[in-house]
Amino acid sequence: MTRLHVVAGVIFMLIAAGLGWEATRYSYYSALGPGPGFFPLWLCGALALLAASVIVTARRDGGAVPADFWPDRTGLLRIGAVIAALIFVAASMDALGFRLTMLIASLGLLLALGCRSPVQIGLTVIFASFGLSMLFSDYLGVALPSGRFGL
Amino acid sequence: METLGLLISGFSVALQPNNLLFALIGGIIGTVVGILPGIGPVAGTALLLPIAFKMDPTASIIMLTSIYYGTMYGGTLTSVLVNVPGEAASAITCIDGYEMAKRGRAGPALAVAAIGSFIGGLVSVAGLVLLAGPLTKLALLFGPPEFFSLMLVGLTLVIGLAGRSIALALISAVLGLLIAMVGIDPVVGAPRFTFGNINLMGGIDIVIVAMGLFGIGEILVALEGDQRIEIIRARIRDLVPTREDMRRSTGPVLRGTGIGFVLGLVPGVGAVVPTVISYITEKRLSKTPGEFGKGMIEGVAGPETANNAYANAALIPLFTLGIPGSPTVAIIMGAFMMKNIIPGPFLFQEHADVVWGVIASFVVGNLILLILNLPLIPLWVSLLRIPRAVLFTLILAFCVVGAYSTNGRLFDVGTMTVFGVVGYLFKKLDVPLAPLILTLILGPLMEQSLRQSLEISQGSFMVFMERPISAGLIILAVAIVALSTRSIVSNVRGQDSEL
Repeated sequence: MTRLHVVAGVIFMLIAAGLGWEATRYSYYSALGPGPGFFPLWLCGALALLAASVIVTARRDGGAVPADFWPDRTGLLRIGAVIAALIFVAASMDALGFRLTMLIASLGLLLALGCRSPVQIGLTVIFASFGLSMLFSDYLGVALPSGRFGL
Repeated sequence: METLGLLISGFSVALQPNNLLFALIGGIIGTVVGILPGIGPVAGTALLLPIAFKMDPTASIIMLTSIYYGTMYGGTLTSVLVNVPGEAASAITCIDGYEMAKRGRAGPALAVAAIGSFIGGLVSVAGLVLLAGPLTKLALLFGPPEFFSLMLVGLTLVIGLAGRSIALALISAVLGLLIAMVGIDPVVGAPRFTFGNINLMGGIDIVIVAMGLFGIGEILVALEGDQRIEIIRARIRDLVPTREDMRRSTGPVLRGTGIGFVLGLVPGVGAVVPTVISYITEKRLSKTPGEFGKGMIEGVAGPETANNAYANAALIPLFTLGIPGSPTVAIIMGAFMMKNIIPGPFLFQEHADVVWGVIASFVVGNLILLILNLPLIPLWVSLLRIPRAVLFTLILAFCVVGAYSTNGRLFDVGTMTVFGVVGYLFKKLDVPLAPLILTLILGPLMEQSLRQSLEISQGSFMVFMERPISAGLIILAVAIVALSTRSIVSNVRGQDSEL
């Protein structure tokens, strides 16, 4: 294990503490038997113990972080673009509608990922927005948001 | 004889034009999913769940299971021709398959893999037909303590085989169980871990988590690396294996079938292990073990057969005991439950038409894949020429629409994004994802069994040791953890381990 696992272990420990605290608010045992807090509390205890063992092992091993652990600048930008596109979709689809949102998000993503061919961009953007809308909305009956502009 | 009659009636269901069409569609999608990097069988089946929701139960499950074993066929193509496994179970095929391709023998490698996969799949279906009855009768003896203990065995197997660190695998499993707790408590109806958010009241859908961890997470990892791939050309006329190829492949195919089938029966083993064991077995049995890694057809035939035998056999614990043995099978279980069909001992009684139709479709589906795969190799390979930017944009678009249509809310798109980042970080930190997805689906069943068991025993945990089947299973679970720990300790001490 590497030194990064110490950080991961601490995060797991915090999750265990937070959820464990929340679980104490639920009934541990009721007239019907084990209550809603029973299983979560045991699980949080187990998670805390496991996180502690990861921290101890990682500190003892003290392994260096592998050189390829972090992506290079290009990789980082690509990953950032994907996450940004997904956040944009989640934040704006109600307002802009499925087709317009997907059109903007897929166009931005294609450009960010290095696609420069107008044909590839055009076809992909149309399929990701209007094509999927037709497939899911018209053929499968999924109600996709149409937004303020009816798109 | 009764089973045979049910299987024949299953064929009459599987051969209906509608079901045949969906077996074909599933096989094609599965092959594409297996070929394309950045999307594996879990994300592939999860992405199609919203579509399956709108379909007839038999047709939807036939399509999802066809996708599952279709990926096993498809993954081979990229392993042999590009040295990049489309999915994890085909990784070991790269070793000798790609070497064969470099020597101009890609055709025989692919042909033997497809034939082996077909045989492995077919034998597993025969095993399923034979074992369905006895296993269902056994499962009927199970009460809540036995079910809890059985799920514990499955969990320990997942953990024992999941990776280098048992602690990290256990953390993944516990996180899956905690995510499963989100929502309304099934017994008293109180909200848990919802933090006042109405969107969390219904819990976190397994489809959303699977698409995030295995779909978005995979794409993020793939975007780090080199985006170019070099494809070795295979011509159709070069596909036919020689008599010598067939002779050398017979043993590995038979052994691969046995290994894949037996390991498929054990919940939690995962698709990679049978392929690795098959490869090691062939290498040990070979008179020229030094030639492995330099293009030995045995190194392709055995593992490829094992992975398809495993894929089909892994559905046996689901159908008979209601326990999914792998993340993809867990998604298929989700499809059953979406249709109000609960896999387990009563499945064969309550939904005989569906289950026997699905079982018969395995034979049909494997045959379709055998016919489809070989002549269409040039077409499948051309998919790899799709630029990564286009491919990943389309996969993401499918993920978005899939996540949205699960419950018709954007909250799920955000949740999927969060799990995508978690999946990416877990992969970087070597935290295995399979335990999380398995416990996520097993969590509610485990909690229900545990709570029912403790209600029966009025709070005494001894209920698990007082009943013979449950006690046996608990001892087995402890033994698995002990053996796994021992093997890890041995590895740490520097002893060789072929796994």
